[in-house]
Amino acid sequence: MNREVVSEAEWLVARKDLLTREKEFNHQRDALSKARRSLPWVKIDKEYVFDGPDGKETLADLFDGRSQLIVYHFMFGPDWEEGCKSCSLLADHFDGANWHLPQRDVTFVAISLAPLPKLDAYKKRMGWRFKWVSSQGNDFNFDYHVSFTKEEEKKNEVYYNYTNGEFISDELPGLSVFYQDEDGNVFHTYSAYARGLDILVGTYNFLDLVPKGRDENPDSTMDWVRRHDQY
Amino acid sequence: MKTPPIVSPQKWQAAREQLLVKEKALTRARDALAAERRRMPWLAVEKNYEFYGPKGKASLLDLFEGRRQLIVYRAFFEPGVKGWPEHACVGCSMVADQVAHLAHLNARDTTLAFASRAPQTDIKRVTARMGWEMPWYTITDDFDKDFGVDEWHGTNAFIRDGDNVFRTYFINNRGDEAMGSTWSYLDITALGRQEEWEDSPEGYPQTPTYEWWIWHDEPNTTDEDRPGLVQLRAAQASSKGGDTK
Repeated sequence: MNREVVSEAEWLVARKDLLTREKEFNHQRDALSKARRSLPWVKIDKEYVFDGPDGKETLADLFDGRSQLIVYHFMFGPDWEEGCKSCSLLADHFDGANWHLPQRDVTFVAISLAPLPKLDAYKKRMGWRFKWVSSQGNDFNFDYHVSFTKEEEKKNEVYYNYTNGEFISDELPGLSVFYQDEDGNVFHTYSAYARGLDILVGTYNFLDLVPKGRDENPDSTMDWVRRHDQY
Repeated sequence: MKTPPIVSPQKWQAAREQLLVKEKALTRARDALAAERRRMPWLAVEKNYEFYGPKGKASLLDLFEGRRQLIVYRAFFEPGVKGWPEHACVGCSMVADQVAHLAHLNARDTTLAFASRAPQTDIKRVTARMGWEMPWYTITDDFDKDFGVDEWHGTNAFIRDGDNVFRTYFINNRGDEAMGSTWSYLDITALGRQEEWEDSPEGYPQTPTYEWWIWHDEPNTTDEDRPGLVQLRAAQASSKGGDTK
């Protein structure tokens, strides 16, 4: 790696040229966010009951009085000993954003299939504050296509990120957004999976600015990631 | 608020898949931009700069902490910026809140540091109270002027080859938004950032841009005269002090 080293004037020309494209990109991103706000909604009539630090709570309860709910589908299967390491990288970013999300009428929770005591212990080890509830015993993780059954594994076919593909793991990452109206009706407005979650990783945003970039193995992009107490 | 059409799961899925095509295009466009950044020419840094840090005097080279790459975010925390000496500027504080555990950047041979004009005693007190763990230095010379961050917040990236330091990148204004995941989260919610500039369906809640920003230790976060809002308005009026425009 040996980039051309230039004068300040030449560097500025190159930088401004890139800046034009960066601004175009930001405007594209704003347009995409607008399209998200125009997506139709689906009314949720099924009742899900979660096991959390405040006892048994329904999906409606999780809004905690706000109109919008973001759910991070944290990969932590019932028989896993630890939460997924890449989800843990994302989770290292949750608490900072979560100081500010309530200001915009947003409640944030993580949901996993593992039983609550496992979630509590892992959360304590990692030093996180966000609310984390267990969906063990309900269909939530399966309905939102982030946990997969033994039958799907056997057939080697799963529906993930809006397409059918091969079985990868019994758990995969995702994020879903819900809205609750004044009458208490709950709607599903959005879900994202796979690289749709990329923008939530502030660490990646920083790495996209440095000369070496993310410096990842293209065949296994997150193989450098460890839990923050395991580097 | 008039809600969007409420549809069946099948119809929602069709709309979601259409949007996904555009989202994937944007993700690829972002990858392409990052690829261009890696091909930017470098600028040799020939001047010596002196900072004060947690361990005393430090040069720009020392800020790397032995790693190959360095990112310096210039935060406004100094006499004259409202909130002093109890708070850094409200937007810069929000950026600081969103820095994740540093172990991940360090694992990519990259150090992230913050720099301000405030003395170390004030920096230590405020970072401890706010729970921020990144190294935070005091600027003592023309570093801010030379790197475009004397009037406004901004992020500079550097690389070193042995002891030679090169400036590789600089971003400010809305470019700094990419470093904060609060905006990314809000962009996927039904209501968006709920700011006046946004093009949202009719009747969606919207308030003046940025004015919802808080210091996370403010007791009354909705008061009209809360200190964070006063600071933000003062900064916007003076076009100085590090609130994203």
